[in-house]
Amino acid sequence: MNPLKIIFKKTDPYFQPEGPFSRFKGIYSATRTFFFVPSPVTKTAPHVRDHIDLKRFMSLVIFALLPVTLFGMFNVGYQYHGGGASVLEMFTTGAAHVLPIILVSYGVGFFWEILFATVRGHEVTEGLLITGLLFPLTLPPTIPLWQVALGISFGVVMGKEVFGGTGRNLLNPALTARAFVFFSYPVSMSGNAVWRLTAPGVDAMSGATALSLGGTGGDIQEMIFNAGFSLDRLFVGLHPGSIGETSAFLCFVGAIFLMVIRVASFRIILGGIVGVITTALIFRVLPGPTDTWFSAGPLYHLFSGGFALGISFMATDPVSAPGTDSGRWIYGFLIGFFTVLLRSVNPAYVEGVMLSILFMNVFSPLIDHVTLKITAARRIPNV
Amino acid sequence: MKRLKTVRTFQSKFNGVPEATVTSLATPETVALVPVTAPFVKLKLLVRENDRVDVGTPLVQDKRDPQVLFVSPGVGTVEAIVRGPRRVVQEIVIRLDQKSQGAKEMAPTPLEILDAMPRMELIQLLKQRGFWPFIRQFPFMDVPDSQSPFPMVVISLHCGDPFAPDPSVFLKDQQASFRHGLAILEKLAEKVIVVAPQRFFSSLKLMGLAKHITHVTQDEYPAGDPGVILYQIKKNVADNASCTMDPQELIAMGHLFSTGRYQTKRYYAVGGTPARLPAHYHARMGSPLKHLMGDINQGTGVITGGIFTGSLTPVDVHMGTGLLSAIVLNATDKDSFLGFAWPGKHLLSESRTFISSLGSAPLDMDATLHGEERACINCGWCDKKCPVDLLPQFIMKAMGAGEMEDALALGVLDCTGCGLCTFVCPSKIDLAAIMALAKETYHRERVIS
Repeated sequence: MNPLKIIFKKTDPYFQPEGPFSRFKGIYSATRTFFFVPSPVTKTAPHVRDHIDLKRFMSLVIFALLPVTLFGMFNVGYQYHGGGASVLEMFTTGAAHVLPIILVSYGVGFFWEILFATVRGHEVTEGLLITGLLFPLTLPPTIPLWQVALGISFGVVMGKEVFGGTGRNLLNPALTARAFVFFSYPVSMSGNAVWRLTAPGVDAMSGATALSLGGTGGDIQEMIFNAGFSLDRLFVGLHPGSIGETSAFLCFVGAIFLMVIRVASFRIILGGIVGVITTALIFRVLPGPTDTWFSAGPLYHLFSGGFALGISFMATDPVSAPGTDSGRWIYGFLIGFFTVLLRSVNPAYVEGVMLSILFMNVFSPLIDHVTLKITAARRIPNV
Repeated sequence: MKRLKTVRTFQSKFNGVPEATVTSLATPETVALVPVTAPFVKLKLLVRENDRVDVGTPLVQDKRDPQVLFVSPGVGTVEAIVRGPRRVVQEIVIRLDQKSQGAKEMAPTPLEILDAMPRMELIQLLKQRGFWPFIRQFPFMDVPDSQSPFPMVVISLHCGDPFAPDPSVFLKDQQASFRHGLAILEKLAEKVIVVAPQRFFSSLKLMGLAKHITHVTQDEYPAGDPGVILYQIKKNVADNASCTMDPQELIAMGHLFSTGRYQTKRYYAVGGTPARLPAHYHARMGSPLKHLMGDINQGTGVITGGIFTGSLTPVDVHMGTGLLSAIVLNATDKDSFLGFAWPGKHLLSESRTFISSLGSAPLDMDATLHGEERACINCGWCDKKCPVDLLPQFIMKAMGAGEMEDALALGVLDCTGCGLCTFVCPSKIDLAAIMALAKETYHRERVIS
C-alpha cells in the first residue's frame, strides 16, 4: 500500500465529526483528495461515469498556463539584465522575483478558501488553483507582496466566496483581484516605471509598454515600431509588461491547447479575436486620430497588452461566461470590441482587456437570458 | 425507408459487450414479476402467498385504472411477496411448477378478427392479458391514456446501447409474431414507426423485415432511443403524446394474439465481466439474476437495464419486468493516486482530456464516480451531448430555484433520460436525475391528481 495512504488512514479518525480536529476537516480532505482522487460507487443512473473531474479540468488549465508562467519568469529576468546575461541567470533572477508573488497569491488565497470551507462545512474547491496563478500573471513584476496579498484576498472573498464559492461567482475572481489593486494602488499598477524590474540603486529605466504610446503626433504604427515594439517582438514577448501577458505567442499556444481539448470554449476565443480584428479595422478606416491606438490596426491590438492572456485564460473562465453557444460568440466578440474601444478612446486606462472582460462578466447573465428565450422559442412546445 | 438526421451520440467504446451468440438457459426454480419498473403505477395486490397461479393470471392491478393488470410470468405458487421502502411491492416471486406442461391456451386472435375488432375492445383485451403496461406514453413514460388514439407509436429495435439485445437475435424466427404485434399497434395508433440502426439493417433485410422498417438511424447510443427518434420526427404539439413499446414485448404480444399462448422467455443480453461469456441468453422472463449470469465476483455489481439508464441491483433479486440487459461491473469505492495528473491511456472519457481520446479501442469501465461532486461551472459539456438539444445546466438551475415554468419552457419534457449529460459532467452533478425528478413532479401535480 502506498505509504501516504497509510498515513491518511491513520489520521482519518481525528478529522471525523467526533474526532478532536473535526473543525479542520476541510483542509484535511482537500489534502487527502489532492493525493488520492476519490471514486465512490455511484448512487444514481447512469452508474458509469466519465473519468474527467474538476481537478483534472482545472489542472489542464494550469498545464496550459505553465509555458506562459515560465516565460514570464524568464522575461522578468531578461528585462532586469537587459538581455545581457546567460539564459539560466536571467531565468533564475526572474523566478526569484516572480515565485514569491505566486506563492503569496496561492498562500493567501488558500487561507481564505479553507477558512470559508471550514466555516461553511463544504469542500475546498479547485477554482483557486487557476485564480491563484492567473492573478500574479496579470501583475507587474515590481508589485509589493502585501498588495498581492490584499488583491487576492479581495478577489477570493468579494469576487467569489461571498457568492458561494467556485461555480457561483459573477465575476472572474483573478480579474476582480487585479481590478482591486489597479484602482486602489494605481502607482504600482500603471505608469512607465513599474513594468520592468531594476536593480536597487539603479535609476529606473523606462519600461514603457506599447500601449502607453501615442498622442504625440505622427502615425501610431510607426511610433510603436520606432519605440522598439515591432510586431514580431510583441508576438514573442521579450518586452516589459505584466508578468504573464507579454508573450502573445505562448498565450495563443495555450489557447489552442485548451480549445483542442475543449476545456476552453473556442467560441469565446475566436469571437474575441474576430471582435478585435473587426473593431480595429473599422477604427483604422474611420477618420480619427492617427497618432493614438485608434488607428493601430488589428495586429498591434491582438499582440499587445494583455489581450492574448485575457481572451485565452480569463474570458474563457466558464463560470463567469454565458452558458449558451450563441451567447459565447456574442460575449467573446464584445470583449474584443470593448478592448479596442477602451484602448482607443480612453488613454487613462490603457489596458482595456481587464475592464472589458469584467464588464462582459456582468452582462453574461443577460446574454444567457436573451439567447435562452430565443433557443426555447425554436422548440416544438411540449408542456 | 428514411434516414434520420444525425444527433449527438456517445462515441467511446466499452469492453465486455455481449456477443451475438445465444445460449438457452434451463428453467430456473423461481421467476418473479417485478412491477416497479413501471413508474407512477399504484400497485394493488390481487394474490397472496401460496396462491396457485398460471401464466397470465393477474397478480397486481393499477389502483388508478383497475383494468390495467400485471400478469404472472409462470405457472406455480406465489412463494413470496417482497416489499421495499414504504411497503411498495418490489417482487412477486413464483416457485415454478416444474411438472406443468405450460399454461392453458386461449383463443387466438388472427388478423381478420383483429381488423374487425373495435379499438376499445382491443384495448380491453390488452389490459386483461397484461400487455397494456408495456406500452408507454411520452413524455412521462406512464401507462398510456386509452381514451384518444395515439398519434404515433415508435418501435425502436435497438437504442444504440452496446449492451442492449441485438435485434437480429431476438427477431430470428419471430417475424410472424412481430408482424402480428405491429398489426395490433396499427389499430391503436395513427402511425407506427419502426426504427433500426444502420448496422442491423442488412441482417434484418435478410429476415424479410425491410419493408416494416420505416427509418434507419445512427448506430451509436442514444440515436435509437425512442424519445430521441420522436424528437426528430415529431411535427406538432399533438405528436408529444406518442407511445413506445419494447420490441421483445411487441413480439410476445403478437405471439399471444396469433397463437393463443404466452411467450414466457426473453433474450437477455449479459455484458461486462460475468462468470459466463458476455452474450445473449434465452431465459424465462423474471429469472433470478444469479441464474442469468452465474455467480459474480466480490466487489462487482450488476446494472440491470441499459448501461446508462439501468440501476445497480442487488444480486439476489429477479430481473426487472421489461428489463432485458444486465451488465456486471466493478463496484467498489476506489481512489487514484494523483488521479488528475496521469495521461490516462486506459481511462474511458468522452472528453479530450485523456490520451485515450486519441485512440478508439474499447476500454474497461466501473460503476464509480471518478471524482467528487462540485458546483456547476457552466462548462456546457452536458448540452454538447444532449440528443434532444436541451441545455441541462440551465434546467438544473431552474429546478434548483424552484422555477418549474422555466424548466418546462426550456423543454425538460423532451428529456429522454439517456443519461449522457450526467455521464460527461466534470462536476459530477446528477443532471439526468434532476430532469427526471422535474418531469415526475410535473406529472404528479398536473396529470395524475
